[in-house]
Amino acid sequence: MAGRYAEAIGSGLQGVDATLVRIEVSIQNGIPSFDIVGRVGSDVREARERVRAAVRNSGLEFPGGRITANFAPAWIHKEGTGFDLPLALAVLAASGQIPPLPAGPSVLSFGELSLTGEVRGVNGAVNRAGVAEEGGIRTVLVPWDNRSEAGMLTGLRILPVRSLRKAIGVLSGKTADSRAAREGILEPPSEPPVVPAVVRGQLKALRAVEIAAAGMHNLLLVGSPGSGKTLLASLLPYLLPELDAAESLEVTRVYSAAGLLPPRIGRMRERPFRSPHHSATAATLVGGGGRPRFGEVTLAHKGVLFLDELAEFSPHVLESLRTPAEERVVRMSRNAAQLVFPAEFVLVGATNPCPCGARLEPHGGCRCSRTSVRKYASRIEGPLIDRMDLQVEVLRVAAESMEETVRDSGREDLVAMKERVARAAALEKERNAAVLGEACWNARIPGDRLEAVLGSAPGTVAEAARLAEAKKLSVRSFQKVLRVARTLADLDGTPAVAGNHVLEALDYRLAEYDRGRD
Amino acid sequence: METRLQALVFVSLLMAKARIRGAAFERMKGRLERPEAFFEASDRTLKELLGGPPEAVESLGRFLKEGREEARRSAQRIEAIGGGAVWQEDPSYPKRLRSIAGPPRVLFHLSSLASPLEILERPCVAVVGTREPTPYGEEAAVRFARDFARNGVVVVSGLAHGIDTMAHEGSLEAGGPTVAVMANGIDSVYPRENEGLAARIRGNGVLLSELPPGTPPKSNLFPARNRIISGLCDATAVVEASARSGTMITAGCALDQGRDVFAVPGSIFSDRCDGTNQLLKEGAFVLTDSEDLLERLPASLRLGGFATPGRTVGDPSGEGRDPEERILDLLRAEPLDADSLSRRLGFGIQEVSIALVRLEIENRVRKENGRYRASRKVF
Repeated sequence: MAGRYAEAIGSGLQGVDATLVRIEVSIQNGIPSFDIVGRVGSDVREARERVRAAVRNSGLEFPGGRITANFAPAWIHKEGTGFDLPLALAVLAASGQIPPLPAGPSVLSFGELSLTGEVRGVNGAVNRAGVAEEGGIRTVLVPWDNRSEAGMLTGLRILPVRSLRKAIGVLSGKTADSRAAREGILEPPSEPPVVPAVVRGQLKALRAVEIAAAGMHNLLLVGSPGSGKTLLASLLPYLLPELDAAESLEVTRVYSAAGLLPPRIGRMRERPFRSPHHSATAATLVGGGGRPRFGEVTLAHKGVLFLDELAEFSPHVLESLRTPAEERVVRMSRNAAQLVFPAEFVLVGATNPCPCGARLEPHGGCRCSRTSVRKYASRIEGPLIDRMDLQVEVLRVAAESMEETVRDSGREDLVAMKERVARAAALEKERNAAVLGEACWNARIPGDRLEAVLGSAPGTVAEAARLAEAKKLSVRSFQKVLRVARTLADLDGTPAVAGNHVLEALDYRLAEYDRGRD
Repeated sequence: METRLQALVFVSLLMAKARIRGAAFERMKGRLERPEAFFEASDRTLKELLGGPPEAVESLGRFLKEGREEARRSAQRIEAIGGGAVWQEDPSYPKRLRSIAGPPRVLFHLSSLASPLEILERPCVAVVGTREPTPYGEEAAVRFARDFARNGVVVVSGLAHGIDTMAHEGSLEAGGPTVAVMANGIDSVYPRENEGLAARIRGNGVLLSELPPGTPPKSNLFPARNRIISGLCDATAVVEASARSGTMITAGCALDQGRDVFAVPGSIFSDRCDGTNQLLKEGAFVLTDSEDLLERLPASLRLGGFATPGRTVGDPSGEGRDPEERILDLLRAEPLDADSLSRRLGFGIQEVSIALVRLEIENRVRKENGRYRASRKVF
């Protein structure tokens, strides 16, 4: 039996998380055959044909005899083509063509093989490589195409390989080039977007976007078609503080697992912006399916989920957003496993003010009755509206400011805005970490800790409550006003929330959308 | 008195539910004369008096099963809420209304005033218009209603959204009584948003209806109501109406009743003004100043106005004053959105937000459809 048995370590993907898979190969005498056992999907079984051809076409010999490959642990369902490379390595080691892989776990590898022996990239490379440490493994062979994302993992020896032969070479210590993983990566410069002409004159709406960015506040834009709601929302990914290394890795993991990484860059450096159409189903939005796919909420992780025409979404679809918006994750059970998808996003909703859309136009044309306007607003799920800290009306740019829209690109303004946001965010995180013990965004300050975080002079909160009462706000709205006021003070760089911050925050509540009333 | 009210409710139910109107009603009234006689008459007498096709008699029969009991209950309800009713031949029945073709037989009224029908003998002007006015129309309605009220004229309208609401508000602001004629029973308010307004009208004015209590609003009831609005008034002022609208019916009623019709000129581009502009083309009086109308009222009817203190006019230069006052000055001229205020005054959008919230809380401005307007408070 000696020399007829070998193992290799691969990793399988489940949702965003990967698990180590030990591939055991045993070759026995008998009629030539090649079987894979251990709860594998049909796509894993197809690896047999690819491995056989790749081995032969790499100038190596595919062993005769009865080959059994066992994928452990057997209770985890395994799918995908990422096991080709470790399987080939285990077969070659078992047949004595390459030295047995060092005893105990030491090298993790994954990748799909072409029939000629090329190693192809797979989805979720960064996720798969990321579990190496769990098994005490320091060295990871990754497909060349996946080198950029895998290079984000620090503390691991990432060895990108282009072919099965190269992989064998790397393992025997001939061509170890871990630098390649960190080179040749395209870093896109973070260029301010050109502010579209239609939103440049939108002072108040832009202010709302700035506040939303500084505190990660959910935002509701109510405005006529063509007033620039979508463009306003699309400024947010740029304005939000840049992803730090850990966040960038989190987002990259999602996009890698979904197979949606930008091809050459291979990493997610910018905050995602997702805008599903209003015909989207609940499964599209939150994820699901037999082989669970990520929903838009997960693809918007650490970024912006923009829902245009909020009133046109079916109510149960919007209803399905509630749990993810609250828990910041999506949970589902599949194949006896609990999957948890991340879903931490800023929600931006846009809606017309009335069925015809012209309600906010200066000289009207809107013939919607009050009843139909009220009905239209109430089509949007109350609990969802309740999560909108900022609500602002977006009017079409007035004639007097049309001139501004052609003057310059407005980039300077946007850069200045981004700087203000970054400063506020830094202050906010530091303070919230000190007071709450968690560097959370202002939008996430728990209601019962608000007073402590506000740091206001005695009486300010009581006065704020009186003002909210005068504006007929519900209790829930009142808390949102205080969170927004906290962000306004952070934008001002002041430690304590003052009366004027509360007043300004009150201006971002729309009576029509306050559901907690009466 | 209780039986009187019962009888009047009964008569109104007879018309509304058993559909006895016109000649048939005249025939019955010719014999019975007083409303009490209707209530006291036996079913058989009523059926005999009605005569006519068997279906009509049958329908009356069905109504009579519950009719008297319903009249009793409704009368109790009206009394409980402090309302009353008047018969077309009563001396307190509004005189101008009596002279129109087809006056309401019974008029229900609800008011906290001691003698509510008395104000209907003062000079009255109907201010009516679209339910979906432009800001221009709203301002016009408020201004004229206020001016009329200050000159002792009672403003009559229909309690609907839009121009009607503005007309009542303008009059109340100036301290003048106002009259709302409703197309539903006196015991309910439609639209519901105007419940507050209706309560204030009760305090200084009257709510009127010819329909029996409990009648829900229905679109087919509106035209008949409109004839009462114009019929109560010396003149009808139309502020914004589209060519096919209930307001145009009111204007038509006024003309049929031989009353003056005034129209406020509107934009030639707006479909909300094509009705008023058409009226002007057809020879309605042009209303651009309240004097246009007031001078047409018989001199004897011009009473002393309700005293109102003068308004303080803002410092025109505006410099050096606090943002709130400067914003108010601009908003008194026209409704504006926050962005425009920020630009015109050179204040940052934050300052404007803060000032506007203050003003809103003090009820000095209100926001509607994204724009702010100065509240029509009498300072």
